Amino acid sequence: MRQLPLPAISLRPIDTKFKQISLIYIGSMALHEALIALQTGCSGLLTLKQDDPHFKKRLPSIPYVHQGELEILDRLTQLGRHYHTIDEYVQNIIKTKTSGLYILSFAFELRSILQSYLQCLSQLEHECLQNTSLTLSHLLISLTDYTLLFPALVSLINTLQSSGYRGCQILDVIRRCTLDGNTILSSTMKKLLCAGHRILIKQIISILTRGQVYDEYGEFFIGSNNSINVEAMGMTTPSISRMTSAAASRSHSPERAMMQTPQPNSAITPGYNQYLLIPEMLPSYIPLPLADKILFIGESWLLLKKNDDDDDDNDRNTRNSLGINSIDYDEQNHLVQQQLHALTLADDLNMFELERIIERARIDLSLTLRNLFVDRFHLIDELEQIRGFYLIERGELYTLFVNRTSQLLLNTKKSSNAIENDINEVFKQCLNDLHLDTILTNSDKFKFKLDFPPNELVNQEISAARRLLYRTQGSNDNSSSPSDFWSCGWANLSIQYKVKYPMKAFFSENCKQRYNDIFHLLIVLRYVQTELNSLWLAFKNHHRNSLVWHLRNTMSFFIDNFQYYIQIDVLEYKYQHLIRSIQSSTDFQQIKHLHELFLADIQTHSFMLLGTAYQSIKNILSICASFCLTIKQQEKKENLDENVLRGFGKDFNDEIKLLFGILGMVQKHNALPHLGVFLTRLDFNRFLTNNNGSFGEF
Amino acid sequence: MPSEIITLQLGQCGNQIGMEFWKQLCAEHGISPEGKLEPFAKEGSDRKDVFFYQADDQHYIPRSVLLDLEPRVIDGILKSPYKHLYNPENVYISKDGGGAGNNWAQGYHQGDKLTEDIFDIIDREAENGDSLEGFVLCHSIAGGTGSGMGSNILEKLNDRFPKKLIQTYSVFPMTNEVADVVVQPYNSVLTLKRLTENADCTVVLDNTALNRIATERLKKATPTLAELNQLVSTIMSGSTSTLRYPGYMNNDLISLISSLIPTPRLHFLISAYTPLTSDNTESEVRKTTVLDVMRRLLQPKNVMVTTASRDKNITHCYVSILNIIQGEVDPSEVHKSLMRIRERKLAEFIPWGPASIQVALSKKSPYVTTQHRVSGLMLANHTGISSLFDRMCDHYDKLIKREAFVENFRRLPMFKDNLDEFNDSREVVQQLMDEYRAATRKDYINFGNTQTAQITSTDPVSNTVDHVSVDRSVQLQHIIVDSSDPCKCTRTIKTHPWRSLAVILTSNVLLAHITTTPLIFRPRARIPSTARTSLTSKITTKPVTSGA
Repeated sequence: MRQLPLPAISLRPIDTKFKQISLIYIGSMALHEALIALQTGCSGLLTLKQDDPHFKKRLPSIPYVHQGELEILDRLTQLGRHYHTIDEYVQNIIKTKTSGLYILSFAFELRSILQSYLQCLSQLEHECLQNTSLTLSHLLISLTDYTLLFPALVSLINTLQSSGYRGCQILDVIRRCTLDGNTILSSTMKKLLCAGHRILIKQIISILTRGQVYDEYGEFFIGSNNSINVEAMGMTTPSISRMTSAAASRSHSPERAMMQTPQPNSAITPGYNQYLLIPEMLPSYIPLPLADKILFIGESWLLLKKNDDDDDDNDRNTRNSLGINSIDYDEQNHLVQQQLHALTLADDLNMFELERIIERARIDLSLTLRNLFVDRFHLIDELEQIRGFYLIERGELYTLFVNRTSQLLLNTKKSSNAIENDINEVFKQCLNDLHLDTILTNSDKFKFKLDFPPNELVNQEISAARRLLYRTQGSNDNSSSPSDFWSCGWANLSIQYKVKYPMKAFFSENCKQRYNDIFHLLIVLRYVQTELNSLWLAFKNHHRNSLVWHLRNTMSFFIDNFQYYIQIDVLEYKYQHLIRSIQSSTDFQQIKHLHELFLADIQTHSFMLLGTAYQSIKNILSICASFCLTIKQQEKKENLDENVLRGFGKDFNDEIKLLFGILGMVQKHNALPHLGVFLTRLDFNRFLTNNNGSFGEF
Repeated sequence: MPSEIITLQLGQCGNQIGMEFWKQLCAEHGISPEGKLEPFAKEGSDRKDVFFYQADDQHYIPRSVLLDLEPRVIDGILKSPYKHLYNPENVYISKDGGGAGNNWAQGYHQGDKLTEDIFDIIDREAENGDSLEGFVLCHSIAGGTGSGMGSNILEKLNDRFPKKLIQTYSVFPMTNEVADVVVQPYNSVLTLKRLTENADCTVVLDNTALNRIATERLKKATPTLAELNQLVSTIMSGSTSTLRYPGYMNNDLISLISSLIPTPRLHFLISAYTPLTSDNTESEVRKTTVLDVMRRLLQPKNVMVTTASRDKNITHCYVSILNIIQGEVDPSEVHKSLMRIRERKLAEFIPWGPASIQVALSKKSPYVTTQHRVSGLMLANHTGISSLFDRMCDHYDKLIKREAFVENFRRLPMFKDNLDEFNDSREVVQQLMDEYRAATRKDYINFGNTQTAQITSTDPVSNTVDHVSVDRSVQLQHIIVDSSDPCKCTRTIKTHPWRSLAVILTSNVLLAHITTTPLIFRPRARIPSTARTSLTSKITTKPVTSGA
C-alpha cells in the first residue's frame, strides 16, 4: 500500500494525517481501507495483486467483514477509481497546456470539484478519528453526491476525449449534461459550463470591444478569413453570364492575392471580410443571428480602430473626426464589458440577456457607423459617383466616350497597358470637355480595364459566334469582322474602382464585381445604340432601300426600350429607393444589406441571372452590332446585298422570338415584378402579339 | 465641348422665336441678358456648352446666327436688354435691307447671292466647336426670307454638312382664314419641298393651332405675337432639355430624332406641351401627375398642329411618340401612366411595326420656378400631319390653276423660263402626303420598295417591249424606263407599290396601263415624242424622269 503512487497535489495532507491515524488506530481497518480507496481508487487490502494499482477484483470474501460491507467498500472503491480517472485527466490537461482554453478552464473547474471532494474526505477522516464506531455506510451516505457526480463526469470526459471536441464545441456537450433532473448533477455541470462561458464571454468581449479575436487555439466560433477571394466570386458563375465570367475568373488575380499575403491573419485590413463565422464551432444554443451580430460588431471595431492606428493616405480631418468619436466608443465599450461580465457571474448563462446586450451594442454601433458613413464619409456621394461611373448616369459622358473610342475598342482584341492608358486618357478628356470634373470628382479612383477572358474561353465564344460569321461575311476578309463581337474591347471593358479606406467596408469585392457585370451590359447597350444612331446619320440622305431603315428602326426600338427599362425602370427606380432607405435608416448593417439587395435586384431584373434569356439578349446585341458594321462596310459599295440584310432580319427575329418565349414564360409565373414593364413597352401597340412575337418580316 | 448645336434664325418670324428661345435658355441656365453667369448658377451640373460657348472673358455667347433681309426685327433685338448676348459677327442683315417682299423666289435668290457671306459665318461657327452635332433652323414657311432664304440655306447646309443633323422649327401659316400674304401657299409648298428633301427633322408649329391654344388654354381673346412666340420657345427649350440637363438617356440630338423618325421622309413632327401658363393668368391646371400630363399631351386640343384624325377614309395614327417629362418623377408613375394609356387606347399606333410612347425624363431648371411639379412635352410623328399639307395644297391648287400672282415669281431667274419648280414642289409634297397616308397601312413596309425588272425587247429595232416579268406581285405606281440609250434593248423598270395606274413614257415608246399582276407588258401603240406633254397633263402622277 505504501508503494502506491499517491496523487501529488491533494493527498499530501491526508497522507500525513493518515500516517498519524494508522499509527494511532489500527483497528478500524475497513474504514481506513475505504478512505484510501476513495482517494486512489485502490487499496492494498482489496487488491488481488499488490503491484497492480488498478485492480480488477477484490477478494471474493474477507473474513470478519460482512458481505454488505464489502459491497459498500466496492462502491467506495469505484468512486475512488472515478476520482482517479478525473484527477489524471485534470493533471494531464494542466500539464500539457495545448488543449485549449476551454478544456483548460474545464479542467480547472474539475479540479475545484475534486478539491471539494478531498475536502469532504478529510472531513470524514476527521470524523472517523473522533468516532471510531462510524460505519462504512456513513462514508457512503456522506459521499452520495459524488457517487452520482463522478460517473457522469467520467462519462463526460470520455465523450470529450473520444469525440475530439474542442473549444466552443465542448460547451455544447457540457450543456447537454446540465439538462439533468438531478439538481446536484445539473448544478455542478452548470458550474463547469460556466467556466467555459467565462472564456467565451472573454472572447466575445475581446471582439466586441477591440475587434480582436483572442483565440490561440482556434476555439472561437469566429475566425479570421484567409480566403477573401472566395467571396469575390460571388454568384457570377460562368453558366450564368458569359459576359461576366471573364472578369470573375480574373478577380482572383495574383495582384490581389499578394495584397493579402503580407498580413495573413493580422487584424490590419479593414473591411467586412476579415473575419468569418465558423459554423461548426458555434454552440447550438447560440443563435446564428447572434453570432452574426457579434461578427459584425467585431469587424466594425476593427474598421474604426484601423483608422485610429494607421492610415497614411487618410487626411487629417477624417482621423480627427474619428478620434473624437473614439471617446464615445470607450464609454460604450466599458458598459458592454461590465454587462457581459455581470453575465458570467450568474451560474447560468442568460442567453436572453446576452442577446439583448449584443443587440443594443449592435444598434449603437450600427447607428454610429451609419452616421459616420452617411454624414462624415458621404456614402451617398460615393454612391452617386458609382452611379455616374458604373451605372452610366451621366449619359452624355458615355455618349461622348463611346463616340470617341468606338473604333479603338472595336479593334482591340487583347488587353495591353498602352490601350488601357489610351482609354483612360480619352475618358479623362471627355470628363474635362463636359466640365464634369467638378461633379464626378473621383475619376482618379475609377480606371478602365480591359479584361479579356483567357484563350480557351475566347475560343468558345468565337465558335458560338461563328454562326454569325459565316452568314454575314461570305468572304472572311476584314479584320473587324463583326462576328467576334464578344471578343472585342467593348464586350470586355470593365472599371476598376479603388475603394479608399472606410468605403471598403461598404463595397466588397463582390459588390464591385456585380457593378462591373451591370456595367458590361450597359456599356455594350450604349455602344450598340450609338452605332445604330450613326447608321441613321449615314443613311439620312439615302431615301431608298427601306429594308435597312426598317431593320435599323426595329433594332433601335428594341435597344432603346431595353435601355430605358434597365436604366430608368429598374436602375433609377431601385436607386432612388435605395437612397431613400439609406437616408431614413439608422442601421448601418441594414444599409449594407439594402445595398446588396439593390445589386441583386438589378441583376435579376436585367435578366443576368436568367441564363438563356441573357444569352439571347447578348445575341441580339451582337446581331445589331454586326448589322451596323456590315452595313457601314458596304455603304460605299452602293448596292447593299439584300440577302445579307434579310439574313440579319431573320436572325434578329429568331432571337427576339426566343427571348419573348422565355420572358413570356417568366411573366406567367410572375417571377419578376418589373418584367411586365418591359414587355408592355415593347408590345405597346400590340404588334408583337399580333405577329406571334416577332418584329415583322424582313 | 462635344455635340454642339448651332441655331440659325431666319427672317422676321425666325428671329422673333429665336429671341424668345434664347431668353428662355438664359433663364433656365442662370445666364444674365449680358451673358454673365448669375451668382446663384455657378454650381450647376447643366450643360451650357451645347448651345453656348464661352468668350475669353467667360461670358456665355449663344451659338446662334441671326439672318434677315430687312433690319427691323434684328434691330429690335439689338435694342433689347439682350443686345450684348449675341456675337455681333453672327448678326447678318442684307445690305440693301429691302427684305424679300414675302416672295419665296426673292428670298431664295437673295440667299443665293449672299451665300458666301452667310456661310462664312456658319463655317466659322461650325469650326468653333470640336464636334458639331447639327443645326437648328427657326423660320416661318409663309413669308419671303424665312421660307425662301431658308430653303436656299437648307439645300446648301445639307450639301456642305452631309453628316450633320438639320432640325427645323418651322412655323406654318394659318390655313383656315384669309391669309395675310396672298402668295403664302406658293411659299409654303416651295419650302415644303426643301424641308422634305433637305431637312432631317422638322418640328411643325402650326400658327392656326398656336392661336387656338393661346386663346383656349391661356384665355386670351387675341393672343399677341409675343405670346405665340413664347409658346414656340417653350417647345424649343423643352425639346432640348434632355441635351441641356442630361440624365441617363437621350443626351444627343440624334438619339431624340432617330427614335422618332423611322424612315427619312416621315420627319415632320407635331408637338404638344402641358401645362401651359402665361405670366398674367392663373393656370387652370392645378394638379399635375405624370398620368395627367401624358394624357393631356395626347389630346388634340393641346397639340400645336391642327390635324384631322381621319381624312379620305384613312384613320391616322402615331408613327412614334416621345414624351419628355420634366420634373421630379418616380419611374413607376411613368409605367402606370403608360399602362393606363394603353388600356384606354388613347393613342392609335401604326400597324406595320412596333411602336410605343418613348419617355425621356429630364430635370427641371433649378432657376426657373414653376407652379407645377411635372410638365411634359410631346414630340410625335403623326400621319395626320398630311391633312395639314393637304389643306395647304388645296389653297395652292386654287391659286396655281389660275396662275395667280405668278408674275412676281417669273421675274426671278428660277422661274424665268417655266414654272416647273412649282410643279416639282407640288409633286414632292404629294409624294410626302402619299407616304404619310401609306404609313397608316399595314403594307407600308413595302412602300417605295423599288423593284427592278428587266425588260427585254423582242424587237430591237422598234424598241418596243412586249413582256416583263416581275417576281413579286405588287401593284405599280410609277414605271420608269431608262431610255438613256435607245439602242439598247434592256430596260430598267422601277415600280412603286400600291398604285394601280401607271403609265410609262420613254422617248419613243408608250407602255400602256398596267393594273394587275403578273405583269404583262404589251406594246399597244407607238407614241411620237411630241405627244409627251399632252399625256403628262392627263396623268396625275409625276412625269417620268429618265435615269434612276
